Amino acid sequence: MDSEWAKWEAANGIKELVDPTRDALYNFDEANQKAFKSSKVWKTDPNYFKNVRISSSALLKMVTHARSGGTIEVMGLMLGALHGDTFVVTDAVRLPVEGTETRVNAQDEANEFIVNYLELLRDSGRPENPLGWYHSHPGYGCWLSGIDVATQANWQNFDDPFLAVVIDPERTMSQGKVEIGAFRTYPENYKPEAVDSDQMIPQEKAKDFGMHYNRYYSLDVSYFKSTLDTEVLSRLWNKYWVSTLSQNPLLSNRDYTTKQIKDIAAKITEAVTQQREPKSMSAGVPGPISKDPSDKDMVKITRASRRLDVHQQAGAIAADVKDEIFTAPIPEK
Amino acid sequence: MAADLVYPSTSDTSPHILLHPLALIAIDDHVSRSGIRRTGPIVGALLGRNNGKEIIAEQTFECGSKKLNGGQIDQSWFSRMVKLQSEIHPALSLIGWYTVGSEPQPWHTGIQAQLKDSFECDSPIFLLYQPQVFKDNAVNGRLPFSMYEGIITQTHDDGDMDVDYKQGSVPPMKFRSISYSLETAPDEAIGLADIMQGASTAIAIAGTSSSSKETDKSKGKAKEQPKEIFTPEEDEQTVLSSIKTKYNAVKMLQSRLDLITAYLKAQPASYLTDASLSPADSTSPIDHEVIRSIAALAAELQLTSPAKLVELTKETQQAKTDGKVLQLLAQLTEHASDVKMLGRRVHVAEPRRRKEAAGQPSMPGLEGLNDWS
Ligand SMILES: [Zn+2]
Repeated sequence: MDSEWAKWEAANGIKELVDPTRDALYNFDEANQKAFKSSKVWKTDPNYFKNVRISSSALLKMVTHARSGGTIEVMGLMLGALHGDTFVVTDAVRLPVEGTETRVNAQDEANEFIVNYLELLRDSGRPENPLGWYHSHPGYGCWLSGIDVATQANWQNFDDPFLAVVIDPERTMSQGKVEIGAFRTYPENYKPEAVDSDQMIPQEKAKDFGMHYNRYYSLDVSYFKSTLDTEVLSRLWNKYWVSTLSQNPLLSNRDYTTKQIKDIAAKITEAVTQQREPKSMSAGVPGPISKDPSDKDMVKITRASRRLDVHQQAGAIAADVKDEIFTAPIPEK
Repeated sequence: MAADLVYPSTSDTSPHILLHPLALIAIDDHVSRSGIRRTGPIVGALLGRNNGKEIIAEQTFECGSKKLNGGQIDQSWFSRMVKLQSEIHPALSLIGWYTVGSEPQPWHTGIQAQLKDSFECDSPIFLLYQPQVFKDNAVNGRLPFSMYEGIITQTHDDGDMDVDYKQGSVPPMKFRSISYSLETAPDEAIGLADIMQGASTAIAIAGTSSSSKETDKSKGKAKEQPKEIFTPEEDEQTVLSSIKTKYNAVKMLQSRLDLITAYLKAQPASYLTDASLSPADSTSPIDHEVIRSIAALAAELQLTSPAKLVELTKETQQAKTDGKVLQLLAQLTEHASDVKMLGRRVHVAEPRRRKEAAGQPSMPGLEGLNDWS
């Protein structure tokens, strides 16, 4: 087999396509992974894992899956390896489950699929481990709901290290940038230090968010690509640069901007109400512990409006460039 | 030898392939992984939709190296996988397969026939991923693959002709090249852009807080001291990366225009405008098709300057004004927050100031506040 592969490799120039250093994450050391798993080093620190690195292929699979669900939440499984404090996600597969946000243990329905799929994968020579689950939050941002916290805690009890990833397909579309978050839950009895979140949560979800936000933490997400991807992407860019010049985000993002402004306005109204009657618990959202809970709200509101402003600025630049190139009158000679 | 496998002409009745970049990136992934782990050969299946005239290739799955024996896919393994895939991609079906190579090889016909005969894939398409393409310059480079369909031919005295495949006899199979184009969904484009701009190489960094892309996310730092109201760096990054993308696109446009200009300059002088030349003088052959396209492009440019310029300008101005209003609102919000902080400080400082001033006859006034600040 080895010599056969060597022949194939040589005939097709595959060796030149990969770089042992720059493509190191495409390797998989099974013994090393087993040793790490049995060492249980992460047990010593509830915040042990800090980073997530996602391959180009896994990212595209998850983003398109999330989007294909429309307003329905969809779910999938991630495969990969652990490198110290980092989850390396190398692949993602859809699970035949929908509407995950409304049902506890929805993933039970997918268990048979998971078992069969992993068996077929192993048989064919793919030893990667299940590394986590992902699901979509269409339009309401990346965080863990009460049901998500229960699901994730369950995974961490039985198959740790395990990771939860959430993708918001609607915000991805409106911001022109993948909206993604990665999370792990804390042990049941663990009390984290002050937790802060800059999430904009829609009003109807605020209660669910407020009740569970201190049960988990987020990990830093970044992406990686192969040497081959870099080649292919530069060729794809040959086809995409035109649309980069022709789009006008100020116009295409109007709906999103309006929605965001409405959300910020609602938050401001709420903050004002709380300010006027500080003792009142009517809002139902216990703010993060602080001398004056409305301070934190103000920070969030300021940050959200600031971010919206930045997106507008970027959009204005795009519009200016387009204008300058395509509609500005040609200067007289 | 291998060249004989390729049917020389294309056909109008062949389907046109629309390939999603997701499938292409997934094949990249497969090739990179096999290359690094030294496992092969590389064979995978294409899933998609066939609407009669077009075949849309959307997803892939890999036929692991252990399930490929003697140039054939393990029948039962593959059937089970196809069934699982149909559970998660109910709208898609098996439409073909892919492998890596420079040109069609005899063993390719084996898998092509297997898909057709054993897996109810009527006319499988065959994507041949061709790494040798990467040796060309990327700026004008084509995508690294070719697409084929399999046709059964029988050689008669009067040449090749398509006939129905009959069991028993084994008529030779050939591959006929078919046309393709890329089809990118908007969400796919966003994912690709993020990868192009933000993804690092796949260097393994053991146990450290990784990534060359630290600037982007301020999440995941829950334990640190409270952040400032906003992080200018993050905001700057957003604007910066959008400017960078524009810059690259403008550069691309410039290089294309330069290419056209250089091409036109290199053309021989025209006998139409220079009486001293005659048609016979032109030494190098002129590619009239290219010249005509350039002329058409130049003519079109006049037409594309917007007819409703006034309306367009108004609309653009309005959008920009809205943006400015939003900017002011954001600043106002920030100031409101600052004023609130100031109010709190005054609230804390005022009683202290009064106490200090208690023995003195002066009226409480603004001077004291100014001193404090
Ligand atoms: Zn959820």
